[in-house]
This record gives sequence, structure tokens and C-alpha cells, in this order.
Amino acid sequence: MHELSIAQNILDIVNEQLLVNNLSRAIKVSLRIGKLAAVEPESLKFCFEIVTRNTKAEGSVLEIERTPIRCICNNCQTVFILDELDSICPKCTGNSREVISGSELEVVGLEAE
Amino acid sequence: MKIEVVKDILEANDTIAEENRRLFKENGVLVFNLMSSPGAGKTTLLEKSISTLKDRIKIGVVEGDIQTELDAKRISKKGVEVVQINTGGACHLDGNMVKQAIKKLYLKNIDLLFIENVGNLVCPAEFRVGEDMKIMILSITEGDDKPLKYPLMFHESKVLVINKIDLLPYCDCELKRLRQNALKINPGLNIFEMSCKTETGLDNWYNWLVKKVEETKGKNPTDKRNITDIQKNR
Repeated sequence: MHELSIAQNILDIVNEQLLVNNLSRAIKVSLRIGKLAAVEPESLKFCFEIVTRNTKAEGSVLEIERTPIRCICNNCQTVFILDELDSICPKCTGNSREVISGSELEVVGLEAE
Repeated sequence: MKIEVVKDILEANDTIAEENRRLFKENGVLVFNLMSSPGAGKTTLLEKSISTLKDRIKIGVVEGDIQTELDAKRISKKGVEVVQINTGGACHLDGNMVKQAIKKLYLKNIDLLFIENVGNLVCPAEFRVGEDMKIMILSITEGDDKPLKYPLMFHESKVLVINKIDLLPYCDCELKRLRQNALKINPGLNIFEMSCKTETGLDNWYNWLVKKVEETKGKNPTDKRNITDIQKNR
């Protein structure tokens, strides 16, 4: 949820990078969004299009990499990907684990001119 | 031109949440972010907890609602420090709202701060406000499938309070299935089952709160009596 305020935050980062690098127009913004981040990509793209109207990022494209939820099994230390939140360890079938990554919500790259 | 960036989109909120957390730690305050659907029993649980424990641990409350000071007024009657946040429309509390609210609290005089979040089973899970842990309440009337339908809330919480167990005979909710579903999503969940209305199952919760506060203070409990004994001596 809150894709609109997230889109606004992305635009703020883009504007900051354009200024710092003395560039005038954003072409593509690359994002990394973990599956735990509860963001709906299509909704985000829609909101981004709205907030970037009449800005230096108007018309720019959002490229979204969805990163998986990685866990470490507390029983056998296997690192595995959580396909569903109720998945178990593929090696020992244990269900006690710690999440290592999967809630990222980052701008990782900008293509601009 | 391609520029490499690594910038957290929610950095602004997380930075403020971390500032809040540092302030809490400096003042020795244990902080719980209490979340649930509207009407699950957050404020009632706080009222009961304060009534029973306020002579034992110093409790403060930050109340979050879209509108009104109804909850802050209820808590205020219990004689503890409370601040009301009205979000005006925002469906969750964020780091900055809590930052502004805690300016009105005397943190040095608080052992345990409850941040009662806006009633919402979705958004509060996504935003840190500086808490030590997220605690959620689910009531029996909401149904036993909610952990599967709203997984993030259950996944992000360390504690689940199942409330209104007195209504089990009148609902289709199966307690065993609810526990199973919750533990599927989060195997490490610490679960308390209670009815705030009939005051069943609250002792375990009170004892756990006291234990957590004493752990934060970093010393052994000076009062070895359990909650039932404290209540008998009143």
C-alpha cells in the first residue's frame, strides 16, 4: 500500500540525483523491491506516472527487480528462499527460521541525460 | 548516462524511527507497537494492563487514531501519561508522528511505552516507529483464516494476543486452526489467549510484561511474587 507516497519518495531521490549529476531528464529508474515490502508494482508504476507529470522525470520508466525473501534455517543453517510465508526448510523441513533479506525498497540506478 | 544509486526509499521514515529508538534506549524505555483491526481490543487490553500493573511498572501510552481523543481519555482515567495522535486520514502511525508525540512525554519516568497504532490489519506492519517489538491482537470474531489472508502483520509481530475467547461458542472460529495458521506464517510467534471482558488468561500476559520490563532494566526481578499474589494483596 501507499504506492503514491512511495512514488513521491522515488521522485525526490531522482530529482536529487539529477541535480547532483547536473542532468536534466530522467529516462529510466531502476528499483529493487523485496517481496516482503508489500508494494504492488503495477500500482506503483501508475502512481509514478501521476507524480512525475510536469517534472524532469515525466515519461521515465520504472524498472522493477523483485527480490526474494531469503531465510536461514535455525536448525540446520541452510539458506533458502521463502516462496510462501508458510514455507519450511527444504533440507531439514524445520519451520524455525530468520529472515535475512526481502524487505528492500530501494532505488538502485538511474538512466538520465 | 547511467548512475548507480543505492537509496532506501523509506529512508526518511526509518531514519526517524531509529532516532526514536535511540531516545527510548537512552531513557531505558521498552516500547511495544500494538496493532490490530479496529475493535479487536487494543485499548481495553491497555486499560486492564495499566489497572493491574501500574504500581509495579511505570507505563506510558501513545494513542493513534484517525479522529477523536476517545482512546486517550479512556487511558487517562487510569492515571498514566498518554498522548493522542490524530492522523487526520493516514491509516498508520509513522516515525515522525511518534517523534512529535513523545516530545510531550517524560520518558525518564516511563518503563514501558505502548504505542497503540491505528486500527488496521495491513499498513502498520510496514512502518517502523522506533519500537522494540510489534505486538498484534486478533479477536475470535475476525475468524481463524486471517493469518493466511493478512500474512505481513503476523510475520512482523513477535507476539500475538488472541482476544475475546469468551465468544468461541458463538463463532465459527476454531482456536486450534487459528494458532496453526498463525504459526505457519510466523513459527516464532509468542501467543497469548485471553478474554479481556471476562478477565480470563490475562495473568500470563501480565507476568510476561513484567518479565520483559525487568529484562530491559537488566536486573533480576526484585519482587518475586507472581501477578495472582500481587492481586490478592490489594
